[in-house]
Amino acid sequence: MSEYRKYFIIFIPMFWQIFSISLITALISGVFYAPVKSLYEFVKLVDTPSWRKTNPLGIPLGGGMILVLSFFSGILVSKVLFPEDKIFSPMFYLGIIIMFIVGTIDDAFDIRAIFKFLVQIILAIVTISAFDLQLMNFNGLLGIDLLPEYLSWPITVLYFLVFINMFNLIDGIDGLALSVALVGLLFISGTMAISGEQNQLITIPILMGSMIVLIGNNFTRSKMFLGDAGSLTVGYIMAVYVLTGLSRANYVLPDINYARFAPVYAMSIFWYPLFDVVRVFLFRILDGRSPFSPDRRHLHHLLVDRGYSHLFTTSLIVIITIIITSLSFYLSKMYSLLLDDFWSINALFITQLIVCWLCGYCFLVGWPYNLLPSRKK
Amino acid sequence: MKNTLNTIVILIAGLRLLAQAPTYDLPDFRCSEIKNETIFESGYESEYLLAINDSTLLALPSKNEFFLSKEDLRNEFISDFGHIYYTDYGTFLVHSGGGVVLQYDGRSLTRVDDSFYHQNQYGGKSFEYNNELYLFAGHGLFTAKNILTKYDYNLKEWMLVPQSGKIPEFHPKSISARIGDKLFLLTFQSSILEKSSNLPMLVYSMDLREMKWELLGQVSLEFLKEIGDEFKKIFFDPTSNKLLIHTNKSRIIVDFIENNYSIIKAKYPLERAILLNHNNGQDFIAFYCDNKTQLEHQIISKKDYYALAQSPKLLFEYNLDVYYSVIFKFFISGLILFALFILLRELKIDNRIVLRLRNRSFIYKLKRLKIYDQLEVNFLVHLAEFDQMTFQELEDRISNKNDSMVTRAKNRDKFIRTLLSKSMAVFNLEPSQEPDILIICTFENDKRLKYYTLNPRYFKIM
Repeated sequence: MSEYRKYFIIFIPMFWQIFSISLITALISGVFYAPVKSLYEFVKLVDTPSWRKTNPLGIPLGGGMILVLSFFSGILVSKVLFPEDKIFSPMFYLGIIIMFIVGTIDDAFDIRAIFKFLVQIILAIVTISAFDLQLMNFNGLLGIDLLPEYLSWPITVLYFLVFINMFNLIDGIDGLALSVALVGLLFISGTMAISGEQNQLITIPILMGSMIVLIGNNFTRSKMFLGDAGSLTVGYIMAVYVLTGLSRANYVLPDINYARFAPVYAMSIFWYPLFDVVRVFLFRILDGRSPFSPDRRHLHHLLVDRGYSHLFTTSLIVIITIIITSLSFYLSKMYSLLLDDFWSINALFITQLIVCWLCGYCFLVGWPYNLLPSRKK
Repeated sequence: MKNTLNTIVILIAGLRLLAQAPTYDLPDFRCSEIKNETIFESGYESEYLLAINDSTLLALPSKNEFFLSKEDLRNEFISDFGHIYYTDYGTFLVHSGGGVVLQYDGRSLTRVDDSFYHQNQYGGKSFEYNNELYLFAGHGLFTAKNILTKYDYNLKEWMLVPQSGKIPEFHPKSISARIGDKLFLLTFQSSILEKSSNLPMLVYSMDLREMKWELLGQVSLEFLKEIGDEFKKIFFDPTSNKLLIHTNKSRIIVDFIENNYSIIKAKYPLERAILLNHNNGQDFIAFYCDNKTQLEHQIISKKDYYALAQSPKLLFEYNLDVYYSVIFKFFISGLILFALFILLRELKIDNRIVLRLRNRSFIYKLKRLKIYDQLEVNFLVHLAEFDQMTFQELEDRISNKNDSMVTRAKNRDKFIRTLLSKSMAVFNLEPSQEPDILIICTFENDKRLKYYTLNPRYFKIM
């Protein structure tokens, strides 16, 4: 048996390793799906309809449970199939469980935001200490280079808060939060491969399998929502992955100084949640309301309210994300050749900001150029 | 029979004698400690130099001894002169930490530099280019550095050489080989001395004409697993431009030019011997110890040795290729998974009434339904398009303008009952089961206003 496993490990190409793990995780998600759905319906952990919600029926909030169950099952399976691959830090798994529990409690009892933030701050501090991860250097972005220790810590904690909650905030239409996370994972996988984070890399196909099942089911009648449990968990996972890439990516590709442009790449991959959250917070504050008060001013809501389906809106945002991220790689190479270190990263940042704003507004809001006319009759 | 056997034994012994030179008996030498730095080619035809004690080199096969005084060595050991350079001016031995240079010209061994023991480039990579001596990177004096130094024959001192491009960080387990105008370097990513099994191994090359570094790529995972954490000996074969790496498991032959590597599972004694060039680079001579004081050797032709190699595998991939190929692999995997998911879903026959908006038709289990009248069709299509219809809107459609409110309500109830009974018949449901084929909801801001909506459990809209 050990000889067979050795053959499987050494000779199987990477593609089959990725595909087999994600397929197994997808199957595990499929198996868990119906029981989890029934369980959540039984305990009435469903999304209650309201004027703000697009769905009039109560949808079970078991997406997070599926994600977590499949994730840990997938870790076990990959350890059996590929025992030589090292697993990621146990602190990461503990963080996922804590975030999931907090999110589930929030789904069930609607806890106060201050309590959620407190838990997130503590988790962020513990994660930063355990992984020795910090945002230390902005590489000249907005004139900021190396951060002193007393600034690096709070900024990293803030980064965690933003990342964890932004997925929660964009989880307003079917499949959006998970699709954005999936695109992020795709681009991060390349970074992990060249940075040598093999133990993190193996977790991506595991997540991919369960996310695909959840996204697919999101557009069917047997849908389940992520809920706060799922969106906060996804946010935590993405926060750790991106921070690992940003703080450890001292790696340089032949033509692109990846490490230098990494902050802008990260902003490009997650342009939609960052852009939408900042925009909505700004409007709410200008209206004199709490930035966390609910409304339907999110960009995805605006497009859905103009008569476009959830599937169309999600797909559009995903396609724009891929285009913007690819553009950032291309432009970074060009700017590296034309400008010095300081101006190249800032020029890229400004360019991406303009592109994101234009795409976000023209496609989703319809201003200044209405690229998608309203379908409402 | 016995005579034949005897003849065969004698023949084999004779062949063995032809293949082997006599064993060297070295009573003062601790043979078990033989390693790369202890024995090396002298640079002169089929002659090898062996450090038999702290200050003496012994030439083999002549057994001439070359001694260096304590003043010259300053309490350093002769075996610590691990950097060997073969040039047209002779063979140079440089101290492992850099600085002190000894020259061997076939007759004598002398110190030729005016430098000192630098002690700051331990683990550095030495190479000769155009008869110049270079030493790249190293650690010492509590720092690791990636400087490049060159020995100036006139000044008899080491000078810094400017480099450009992507200069690799020093790592103690890096491996180098100079091939033509290029220096190839296999190194781990970080200069931090963390466990190398967690780091990727990178391939750099330096164009020695411009002293410019280039990052070529990342070695394959298979190679990284093969090389492991420890490798014992490294030998570069200048005839075939191949690098031989001796690990705990096997020997690996690395070909930077062809970008491949192969494994040799050599048998005793080759699997633990030190390989050096022999016979003008035509053969290998393998030195090994079987005995405390006896240094043995075996000669094997390079052709025969390389014939033992397994089929070559890819050594490294260009980094941008690695980056994009990983993303591509994940993307394709996701796409295939998604396609499988949709296929499985479509194969399942839907137990719902499918409402095709384009032609306003109703399909149930692949059969077209014609049970609804025009008003009912309009009502259901409106619900499908707009998700809701208020009671008032429905009453407006099915009642006259002059009807009273009571009549309108009755008409509405009758309409809905008829619609539901037709739908229940399709699903084979009894009224007593009270199925929620149509869902009644209220508006948040006015609870008096009620509306109908389709239950997605029974209707699918296309």
